[in-house]
Amino acid sequence: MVPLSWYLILSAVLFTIGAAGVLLKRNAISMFMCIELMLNAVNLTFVAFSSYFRDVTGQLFVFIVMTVAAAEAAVGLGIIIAIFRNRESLDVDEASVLKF
Amino acid sequence: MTNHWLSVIVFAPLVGAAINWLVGRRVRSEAFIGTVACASIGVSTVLAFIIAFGHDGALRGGEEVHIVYSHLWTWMQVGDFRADFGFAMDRLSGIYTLFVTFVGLLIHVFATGYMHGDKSFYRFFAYLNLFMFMMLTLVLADNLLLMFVGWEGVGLCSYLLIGYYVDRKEAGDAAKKAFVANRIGDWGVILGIMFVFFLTAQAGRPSISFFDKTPIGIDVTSALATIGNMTSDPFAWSTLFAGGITSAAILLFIGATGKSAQIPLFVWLPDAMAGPTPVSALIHAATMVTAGVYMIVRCSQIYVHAPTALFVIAIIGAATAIFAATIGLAQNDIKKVLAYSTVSQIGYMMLACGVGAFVAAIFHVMTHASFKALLFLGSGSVIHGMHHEQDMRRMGGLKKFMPVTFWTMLTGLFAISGIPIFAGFFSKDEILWKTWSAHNAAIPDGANIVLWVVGALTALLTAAYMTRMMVMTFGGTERFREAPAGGQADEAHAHAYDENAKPHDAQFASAGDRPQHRPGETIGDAHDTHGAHTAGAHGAAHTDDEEAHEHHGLAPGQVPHESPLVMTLPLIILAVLSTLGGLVGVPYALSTIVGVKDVNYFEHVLEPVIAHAPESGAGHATASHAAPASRAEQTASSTHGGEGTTPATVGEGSQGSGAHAAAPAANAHPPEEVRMERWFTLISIVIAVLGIGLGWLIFNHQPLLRMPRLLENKYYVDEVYDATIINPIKVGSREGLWKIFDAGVIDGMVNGVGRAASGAGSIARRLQPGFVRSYAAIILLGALVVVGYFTVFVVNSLR
Repeated sequence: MVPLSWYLILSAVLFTIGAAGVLLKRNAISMFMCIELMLNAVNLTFVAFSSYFRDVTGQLFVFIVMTVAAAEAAVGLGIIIAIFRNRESLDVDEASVLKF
Repeated sequence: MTNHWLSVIVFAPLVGAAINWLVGRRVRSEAFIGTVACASIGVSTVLAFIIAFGHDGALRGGEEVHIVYSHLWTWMQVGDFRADFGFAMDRLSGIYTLFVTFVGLLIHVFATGYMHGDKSFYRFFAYLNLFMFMMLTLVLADNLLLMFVGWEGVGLCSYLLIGYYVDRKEAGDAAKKAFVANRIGDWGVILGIMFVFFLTAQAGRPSISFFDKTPIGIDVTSALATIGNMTSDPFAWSTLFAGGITSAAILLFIGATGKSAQIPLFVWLPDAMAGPTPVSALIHAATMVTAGVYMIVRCSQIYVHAPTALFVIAIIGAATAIFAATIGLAQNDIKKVLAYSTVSQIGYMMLACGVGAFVAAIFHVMTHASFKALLFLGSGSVIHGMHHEQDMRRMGGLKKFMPVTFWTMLTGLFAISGIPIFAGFFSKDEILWKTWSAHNAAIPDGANIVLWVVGALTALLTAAYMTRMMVMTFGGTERFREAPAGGQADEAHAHAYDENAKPHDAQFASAGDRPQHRPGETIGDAHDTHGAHTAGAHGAAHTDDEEAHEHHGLAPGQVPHESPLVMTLPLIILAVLSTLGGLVGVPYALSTIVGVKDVNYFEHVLEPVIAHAPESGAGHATASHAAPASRAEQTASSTHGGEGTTPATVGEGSQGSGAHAAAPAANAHPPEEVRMERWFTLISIVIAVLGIGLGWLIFNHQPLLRMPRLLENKYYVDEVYDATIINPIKVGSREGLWKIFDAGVIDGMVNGVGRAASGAGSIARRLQPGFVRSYAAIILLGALVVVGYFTVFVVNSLR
């Protein structure tokens, strides 16, 4: 039996990788994938706790998160495509026209 | 007794004003406007006489005092404070109402002739009627607050009418000056009213009403009676600021100095002559300017408890009287002479109030109303006849051309100088005698003699300057025949007349005190046709003589003419009044000379409603002579008076028969006092004759005698005020209030708020750099903070 802490450590590592990626990457697609990574790190935590506490609620949350992630992926990819069409680039630092 | 016709007296002129303002401006018929205006005042006059002298009338003689009430509605009621919109006519307001409406009616009639041809005829009469409404409100109001409404209202109408000639700068300036000077006084009145309420509230019966009455079942007590029952302030200068009765009295008097043109606020009245002459006669001579006297006499119960205030009034009154009289001696504008004369005469009335002779003050108000209205209307007639020439240096010899005006004004001269039989004689003599014989707490020993000397000197000066005015106007050579400066212009003027073949040219004369009527335009047209040189001369005439108010005067060869009947008839009626009006108040000492006893109707009527100055202990033996056996109360109170402690009080209405000295004057005259009074009357006559004689001797030979420069320039009072008050305020406002306070503090605050907002924005802007990753970092940071918080605190607390 793998102890709970291993799952949590893995999840934390994954989440940190994701967060670091969001902060450091400039490519919009990469950032997007890092966000997915963070979501899945959270999903892993949910599932681990669900198993540990013998409570199905955590798994339900995972479904909800996956649904939202799917929707977000659709919208987010749409936006990215629109940006690319306009700017011929995916560098988010250049997409700062809304700045005051 | 309730009689709602009383309200009709007040509101009829308002209706007249409304009709003239709304309908008259469209009808534009002088006959219609004049009829409406005169009819509305006529209604008031007739009703005033009926209510005053009718069954149970306010002015029916006798012991029982009737007061006619008309309670319209409760105006405001807040806690203990209560002000009604109600009118009341007692004997004092009755006398005022009578002469205000009657003299007002005559002046309205006169004005229909005088203002003939004016562009905004309807506006003039609407204002004039509105003034009558406000004046009657002032006089008939049954409480201080409603009186104050009238007080402000007459100030407003005065402003409107002084500035009636809207296209003349000096008229506008004079109107503003009058308004501001009156505002300063009104500040005193409103504080005084608050003080009265405060004092009566301290006594447990808060009220600002003049009378005890019971409107709609609620008892209203008289504030005056409440104060009348208080103990008197002692005579000491420190009481002026002590916050007692004296302070209230002085605050009210400050208002009176504004409205009644006393030192130091008299400066507006001479300037007010920029208004049309009927306005000067009605407002600035006969009625409104005596409102201050009315208020003081109405509040006599307050004043007799404030001897210091009375003394101040006496000093101010006497000082104003002689001050204005000396200035009047040196003026060349016929209306300015009369204006200073008015200031001087009101000074007399104030002097009378100050020495406690309230009846004499009101008597003089009444006689003054008739003879000063007469003199002013006479001067209006002269100005009209002279085609709006006001400078007496260009008159002379008018007696031949204007006989009716001359003879009526001569009665005015005799009345104001105090020649026996004429109205002013009795009232002025009474004031002088009361001043001399003033022995009460208000007047320190010796001061009465000084005041009398000042009063007598003023009488001498009055007779002299009025004679000077008459001589310069009606006597001597016909100076108007000499071509004055700007004669070319006058020639052009005459030419214009001929050109247009006007039958009655006087109606179309321009300038003087009415510049804006048609002839000016007619002449202007004539100039156009006659080429540029006449137009230039005409312009020069307008600028060459400031003092003469851009008048045109007579053209060479033209002679003055007598005024039409609508103007001379009021003169004649007023002349009769000025001659016989004094007979209602012949003092006992004089009527007994011809063997008639006790004919002083005026004093009998007014005595019961007026409070008396407390007797001082020193040397007033007469009080103990006063009382016959039938008047036990009076004996008691005069004994008190001998001890010099108890303030004597006489309430109004229900309290009227109580207390002190309500006795008919006849009973109060011991033989030696009567002899004294007769001697003083003789002195008065000598003074009057001497004044007229001196005036005749000096000015008949040298009508253009140059007066001392100090007097011609009115003691430089205006200049001194400019330098000491007006300029510092102007400079302080411009440099301090505007440049420092407004530009610095106010604008600084407003700009500072804006700057602070944009500053805060520039800081907040740094949170929005536009880089997606920095947003993500901020979100992460926030998430870490939240999570950290939960890990450290919440998880620990769960354990």
